[in-house]
Amino acid sequence: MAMTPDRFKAEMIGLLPRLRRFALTLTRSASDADDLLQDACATALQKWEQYDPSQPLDRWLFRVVRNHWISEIRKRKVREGEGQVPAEDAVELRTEGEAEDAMAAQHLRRQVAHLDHDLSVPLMLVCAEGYSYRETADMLGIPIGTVMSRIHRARKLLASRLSDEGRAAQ
Amino acid sequence: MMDLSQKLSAYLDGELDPGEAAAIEARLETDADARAELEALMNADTLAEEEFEAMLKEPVPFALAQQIKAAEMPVASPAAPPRRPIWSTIAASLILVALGGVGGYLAKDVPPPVQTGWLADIADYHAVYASQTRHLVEVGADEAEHLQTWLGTTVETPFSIPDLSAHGLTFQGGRLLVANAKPVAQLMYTRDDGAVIALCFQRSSRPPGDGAFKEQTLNGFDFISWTADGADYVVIGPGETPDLQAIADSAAVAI
Repeated sequence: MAMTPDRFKAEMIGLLPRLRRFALTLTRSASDADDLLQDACATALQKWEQYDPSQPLDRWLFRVVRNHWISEIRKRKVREGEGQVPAEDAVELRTEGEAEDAMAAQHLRRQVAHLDHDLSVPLMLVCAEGYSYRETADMLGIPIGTVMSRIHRARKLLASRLSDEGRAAQ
Repeated sequence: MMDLSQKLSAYLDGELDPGEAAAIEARLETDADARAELEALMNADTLAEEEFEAMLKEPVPFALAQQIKAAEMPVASPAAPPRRPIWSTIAASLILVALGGVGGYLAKDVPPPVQTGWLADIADYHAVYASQTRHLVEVGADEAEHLQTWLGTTVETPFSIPDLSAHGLTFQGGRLLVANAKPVAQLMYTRDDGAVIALCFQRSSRPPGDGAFKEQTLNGFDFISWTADGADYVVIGPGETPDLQAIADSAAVAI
């Protein structure tokens, strides 16, 4: 079926909960996630003709969200006087200030929110979204081996927390 | 080289080649430590899945969906005049509305929605979700009890999940939608040939109906709708679904 503006919008609206979850996993802050989602949706609507309808829309939109987040992180670092940051490094960054903001966020009651987003994002894409390692690697622009090791690391950290909780409960 | 734990993690994701997976399975049969490690990783996975699932139920910027629907989109044309940035108007008017899993629908400070009729929205959603295979539903049929609690509370309409297997339909699960600015519960069924039939309902803002069925066709989908007990219901399927009326009859009784 040919992609039309109305169909594009309908599909995008249907994807909003998943896009927001992705934004929340990236930002670890509900307000940042909503800002990010708003900006990314604006870009997607402006650039919708660049979308190849033979490809899944969710992956294209996830990329738009991720690219916006990398751009936002860069801007923040520049504002904080730390200069330009390469994209691959930017997605890894987490300042203490952000961490404190995130600590205040309601969703930090969750264990996954305590993971660095470079670990939680691949875990979310594979465990919750059902993407393969290859699809996740393509979406995040990282090697497939990195996806594998980050997901493993995320599971180990969560398992360690569960184990600590288990001991504390005894 | 991957250590055992990392291999087990990849095994959980179905990312090992058949030979490696067989080797892991053979080892798991004889190695208690490997089994314990796999169990720890699976427990971590279960926790992660539950928490990521919960994120889907957090308030979504519902007004954003309305604004997306209303947005003008650039269409390439040699003679197309320059357009003003569509987002400037959207951002200026954006109000986030909480659509919570348990908290229900909060309409505070929201301008009255345009009454476009919920069936048009349902048709849009069906066009989206009926083409999904991996993400057909938000909550699967294996969590039927949770679905009933979650959707029943959010839509403020307690319900039972109709068993429509007599019509060749398999219940797959459900999801929460928004139509006409109100939450909608959507229960999804599939036929053996892959066709998706949905049963949707929301609190009714209309006077109590006589329960009569109304047939419509919108965007290539057939609808049979009715109002009963303070809620609007609709069964939707692909055009020319032969037994849609019989499905609606069964659904109306069972729900």
